[in-house]
Amino acid sequence: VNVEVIWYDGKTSRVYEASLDFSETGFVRLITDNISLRYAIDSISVAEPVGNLKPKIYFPDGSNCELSDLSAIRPYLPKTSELFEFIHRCESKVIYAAGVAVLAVGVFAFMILYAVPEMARQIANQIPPALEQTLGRQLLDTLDHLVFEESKLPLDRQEQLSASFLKSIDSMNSTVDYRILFRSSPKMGANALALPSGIIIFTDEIVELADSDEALIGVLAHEVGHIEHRHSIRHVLQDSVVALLLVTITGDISSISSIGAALPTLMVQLKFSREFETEADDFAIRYLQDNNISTEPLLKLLKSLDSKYDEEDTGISNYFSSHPATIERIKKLKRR
Amino acid sequence: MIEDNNHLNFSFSGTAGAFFGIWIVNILLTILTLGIYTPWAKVRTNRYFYGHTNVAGSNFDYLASPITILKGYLIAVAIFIVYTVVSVLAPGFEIIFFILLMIALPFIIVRAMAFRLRNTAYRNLRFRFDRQYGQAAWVYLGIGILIPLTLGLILPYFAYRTNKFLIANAGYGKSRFSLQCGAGDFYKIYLIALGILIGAGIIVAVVMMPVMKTVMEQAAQSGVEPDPAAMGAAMAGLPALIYFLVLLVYFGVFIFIRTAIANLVWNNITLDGGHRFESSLKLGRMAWIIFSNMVVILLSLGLMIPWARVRMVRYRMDTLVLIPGGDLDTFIKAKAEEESALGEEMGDVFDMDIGGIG
Repeated sequence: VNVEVIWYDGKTSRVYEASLDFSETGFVRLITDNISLRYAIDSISVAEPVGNLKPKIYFPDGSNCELSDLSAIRPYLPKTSELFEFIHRCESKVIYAAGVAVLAVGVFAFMILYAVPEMARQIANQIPPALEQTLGRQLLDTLDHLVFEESKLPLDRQEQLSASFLKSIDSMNSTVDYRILFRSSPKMGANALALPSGIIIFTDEIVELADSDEALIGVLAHEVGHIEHRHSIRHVLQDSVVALLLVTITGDISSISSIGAALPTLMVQLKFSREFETEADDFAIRYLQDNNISTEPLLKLLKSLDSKYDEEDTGISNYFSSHPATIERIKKLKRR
Repeated sequence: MIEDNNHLNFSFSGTAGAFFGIWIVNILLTILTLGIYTPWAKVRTNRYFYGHTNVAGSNFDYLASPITILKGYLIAVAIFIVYTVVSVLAPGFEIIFFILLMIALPFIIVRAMAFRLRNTAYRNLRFRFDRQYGQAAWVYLGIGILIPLTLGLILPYFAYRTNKFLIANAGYGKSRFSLQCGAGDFYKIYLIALGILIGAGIIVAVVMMPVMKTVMEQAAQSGVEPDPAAMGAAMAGLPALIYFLVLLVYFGVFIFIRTAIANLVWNNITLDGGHRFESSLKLGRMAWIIFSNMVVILLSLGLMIPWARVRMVRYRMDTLVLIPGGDLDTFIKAKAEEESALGEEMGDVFDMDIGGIG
């Protein structure tokens, strides 16, 4: 058997027209116009096939050759890895590639929608309390530095609210050691935050916005929901894993076109955020119901928080929001 | 394009369809193996792109071993984990880590370039990169640190020195590359970019100001209390429009700088033996490809990434020409010690992509 090849000697950039001859068992002979070389079959190797790339054969002296088709001489060549032969089939046959694409989308969806949140939940439950306290303290320091100022609420008002909040928390049978803090934040406006290790922060703005302390109890229950479900740690874990997953896809396009892939990442992360908010809302609703506290004040507070509140707002903008649409949250509160 | 013995066109013979198969299999296996497959994915991708890049009847080849890359990745992951753990337990460490990283940067750049070039071959002859750590430290840290100190005035010079460093230390076999242009050519590009920025700023001001004024005057003349909602929309819409225009201008200037530098550098690279290159990237076409790629990737939720990538590479190769100074058959292999001085097992751990010509 004889095939035409292009041979490169590995010492110069010269291009040789050559042929491979397999007539001697166990050996291959490479023949050019004035060179004839003999290699043992065991000593040569065939490049793993990639896409529609031309096959290549490497010789022990560092030379190699390229040919257009391997099929005629394949029986004479050393075996290439079965695994990579299979991978190559998947890459190059349309049906296989389509199957892989469907599988990849499925695996990807499974990872993002189920596996990653579940893993984050498991890991979050294993985080030692000491680490959680460090995280909470660090986060509080950062927030104090960036967005918070000292609370301007009268001290007795702070104490009265704290006492009432802690009393409510007591009835929730939690194992977490809660701390209630007040901060002024013109940058953030009316808001409440839950940090790891049981730190709950109310801004002066939300305390002032609330018509009644009952509304604030609703907010408190929502934040306790965040902490009981360990949302902040799960959030960090999920966001990082998803970012990592998407980098595996886009990682090797080193052009600014890859900005196009940043949007799906953001959308997935916002979806996580909305799910956490819903979970915290559910926790709050359950608490309010169990204690026969009206959901009406919380409902009103939510409405006034959302300045752009719109009864008809169920459009596409929801996919770009960190919280569920206010209308959805209110519907839920009303249902109870 | 003319193809004769004095103008040998580069070409890219890969197709989006074939690369899609490689890409999607890579993604699936990378996820299923929790990232362990990444080096194999990288090697297969590079082999595909190098193998379909042709000039003078021959193609390129990517020869890196996935195992070597895997070792590097594992070390990088280990460093990252140590960093994360320590930064949680001992905050403030990030700064020390950042400084260490900065100090290591020249080393990393040199190792990465050496790894990449040593594993690139054309006609079974490898490229190489000299390990000039001192020079790298001087260029990247010494000059780099002056950029903020000189309020960016030295930025074009920095771009010149980094490009020169990357090219002048590269070789093909025994032959060396060199860069013929000077810092002045880089300053020219950045000056034009600055001109575009200022010009665009003036145009935006000249066009937008009267529009804004008219809106105001009409509101005043109508006498009636203007509808607050409409006013609000106009007030919110205008800054958004200006913001969008500014973004567009920045985008354009960014692409202009990249395109102009790529052309400048390629047109001034020489290879021992009088070999030269000619790059004729067009700004409009580049901007169009990058912009439309971005939109298509976005709309296809990433599935068109292979198409976008092949399209970009094909255009770059279609506009690149080799002007040989003589026989292309006579390059010879560098001596072994020139090719790979330090032990490979020490791991060319930092296999990463370095911006530059590309």
